Amino acid sequence: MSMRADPAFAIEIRELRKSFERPAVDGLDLAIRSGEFYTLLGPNGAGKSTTLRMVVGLLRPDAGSICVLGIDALADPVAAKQVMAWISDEPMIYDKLTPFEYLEFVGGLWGIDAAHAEARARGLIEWLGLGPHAHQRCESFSKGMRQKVALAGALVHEPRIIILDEPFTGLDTGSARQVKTVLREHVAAGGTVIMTTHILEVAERMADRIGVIARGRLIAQGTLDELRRQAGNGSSSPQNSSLEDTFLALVAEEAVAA
Amino acid sequence: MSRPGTLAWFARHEFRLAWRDWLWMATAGGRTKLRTVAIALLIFVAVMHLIAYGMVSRYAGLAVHPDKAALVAITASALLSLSLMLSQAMESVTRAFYTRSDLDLLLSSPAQAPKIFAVRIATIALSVVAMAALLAGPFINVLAAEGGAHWLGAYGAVVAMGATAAALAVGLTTALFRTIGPRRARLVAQIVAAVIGAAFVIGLQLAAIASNGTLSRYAVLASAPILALAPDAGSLVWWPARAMLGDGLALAAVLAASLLMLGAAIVMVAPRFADCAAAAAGVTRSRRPRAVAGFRGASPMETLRRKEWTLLRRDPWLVSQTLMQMLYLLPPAFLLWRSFENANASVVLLVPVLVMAAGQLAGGLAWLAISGEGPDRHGAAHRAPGGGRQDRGGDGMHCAGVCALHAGAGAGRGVSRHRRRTRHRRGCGVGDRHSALFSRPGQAQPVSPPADVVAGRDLRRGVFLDRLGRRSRTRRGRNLDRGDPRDPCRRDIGGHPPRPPAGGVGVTGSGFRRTDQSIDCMKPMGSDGSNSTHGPHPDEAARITASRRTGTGTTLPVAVLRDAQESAPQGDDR
Repeated sequence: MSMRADPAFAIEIRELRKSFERPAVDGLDLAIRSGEFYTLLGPNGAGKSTTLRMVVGLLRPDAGSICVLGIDALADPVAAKQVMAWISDEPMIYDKLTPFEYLEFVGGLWGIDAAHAEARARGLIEWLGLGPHAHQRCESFSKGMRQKVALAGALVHEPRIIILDEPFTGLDTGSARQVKTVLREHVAAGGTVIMTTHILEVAERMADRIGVIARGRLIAQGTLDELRRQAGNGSSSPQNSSLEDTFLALVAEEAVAA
Repeated sequence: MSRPGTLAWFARHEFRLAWRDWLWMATAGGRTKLRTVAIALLIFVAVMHLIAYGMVSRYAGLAVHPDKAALVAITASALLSLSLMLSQAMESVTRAFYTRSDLDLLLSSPAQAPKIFAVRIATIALSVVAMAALLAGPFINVLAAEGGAHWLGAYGAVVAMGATAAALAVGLTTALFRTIGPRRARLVAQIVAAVIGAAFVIGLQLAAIASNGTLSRYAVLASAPILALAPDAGSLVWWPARAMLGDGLALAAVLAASLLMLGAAIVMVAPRFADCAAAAAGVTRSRRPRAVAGFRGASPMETLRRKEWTLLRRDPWLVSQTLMQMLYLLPPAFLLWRSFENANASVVLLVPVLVMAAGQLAGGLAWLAISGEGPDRHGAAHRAPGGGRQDRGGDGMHCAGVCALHAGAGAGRGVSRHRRRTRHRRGCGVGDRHSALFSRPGQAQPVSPPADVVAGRDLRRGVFLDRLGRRSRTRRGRNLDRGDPRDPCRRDIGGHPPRPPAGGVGVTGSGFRRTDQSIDCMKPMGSDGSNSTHGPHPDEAARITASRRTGTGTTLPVAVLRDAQESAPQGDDR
């Protein structure tokens, strides 16, 4: 893998802009530290997914810069993609492949040595409880199993950064717990996780820092307490407010300001 | 084994998926034994050879250097085939642009995107060639058996035509994409593909009718003016025809030219394909909002009817499909007009054409009604006790009746009756209450709106309630099997197994997932904050391709119903 000197920031975004028929991302600045669990919150249509899709190279920004572990992702997208994994809300797996074949394919896409990839794939399959289904085609799998296969695909090439878009949508409790464990362990091992979610409880419990995006801009960022302080200006008991209250207050402030 | 990331490695991956897809489709999802499929295939091939023998054996003696009339006829046939191949290839290329499928995975990986797309374009060419070879094969074999091995050169001509069609389709679609933008390009490409496929044959028929008063296309080709206009027998124009007849030099030249064209298309388009796909991902259908005066008060029946018309009008697939069916009606209409133009009753001539049009439209709408997924939605709506006698097949006919004539609608009533029978046989059908939803089927359920606001029969008039239901689910990007199961480019990716059927004739998919996710992936873009899809509803696209009935204008409601039932879901969601 093309590892550079370990920079302080896993992702550094400056003045990022993307318009479709109206601005979707409007001068966004965002810096996510290495080894951090970062959650992006925002109302529907705020620009979360568009931002992340630009980071992983699925969309080209109109303006701005994106640095991934010190690599300019727009100038050298291949090197940037090498250290990232992207998991969207719909698990990206092939119905007609088995989990084992899928992991082999993903390993090949990232240019991982076959023997190393196979050993890692076997380990992941066991770890995620996919052992009995390793050689069954994914077409009959439940959403939870699909998400686990996708997660295994993301981990098989040992990325430094995992980026997830709404990973818990439609997962049952057991599967969600397992995905959370995987993500926590990735962070514990020094990796970075960036995730969008609408499940505020997940953000509250798991994230080191939370960023709130509205109208394509980062309107607030920090730990839960920092966000509460920011949202609580003038409110009666900001320290006791939930993330939900905090989030709604921040978004409402932004709407008033706009 | 090939090294990961190389062209051969991607080709192997594509081939493996295509083969498994084909096998799955051929064995109806594993329900049919492979041996049965092989036997059926053999029988099909044998029958095709018999048909071919009856049709073309008398031409087997055609010399390698025939006269001008034969060259004109062969070239016209080749052009006809090419236009059909082009139509098929354009459809595939459009789908490749707009289908997210596995592009998220591939484009977020450090693999070389141009290699992936080069393989995909080659796959489109191969699939076009394979389809053409399958259809033309029996004819070529019969000609070779009767007239000599030189006829086998026609296989080379088929390959050349497939490569040319794929190259043209790639060029045409990319040009459309760049000139009119990704949003409009999809609909236009669909219409162009349909028109290209139909225009040549219809044009020939119209010319034949105008000159000879017959539907025979070849009559006009053999006419003196055409032969006089055609270039000399030695002209380059006839090289494709000569290639088909087994002229080695012509075949080599035509093959080389077509493969060069395909190669050029791949080299030029593959590196930009990722950009096009990314642009397609940003497509939304938001339009300039129209000023709406406010709610228009009307009776429940009128409200539902208005909603139906709005949905129909906004369904580009339905519009283009209907237009194509109408296009195929032109030759018979023209023939009637030619035959009776002096009868002083030209208005009367409209009647049979309108009857045909209404019949086709009725068939299409019946099919849509039957293929609706949302019996749960219907079941969940308030229904008066005993109101479940009439089903949606009849509702579709209601629409058709509004459109044109009772004659068309009458044809569809057969569906109604048939459905009623099958519903009893199968236990639950479209519009029935599902036992999982209703503990006491037959009783009215306390779900708004109450019976005095919208009567059950009015609600059941809403054929496209189901389409609405599916659309809304589609927007959330969940739970849908999508796309054409026969598409060799399809990638079964993402999503999860189909929802369990809530009633008899639901829509099942083929395991094709996450196509058309482009818009779903780009949640924020619509002016109303929503996403929507273009073109055929993927379930419908799968169904229509599966039956190929409506597309060819030969919709028989009962046959369509049979298709729907045969593909009704069997398994449970896990």
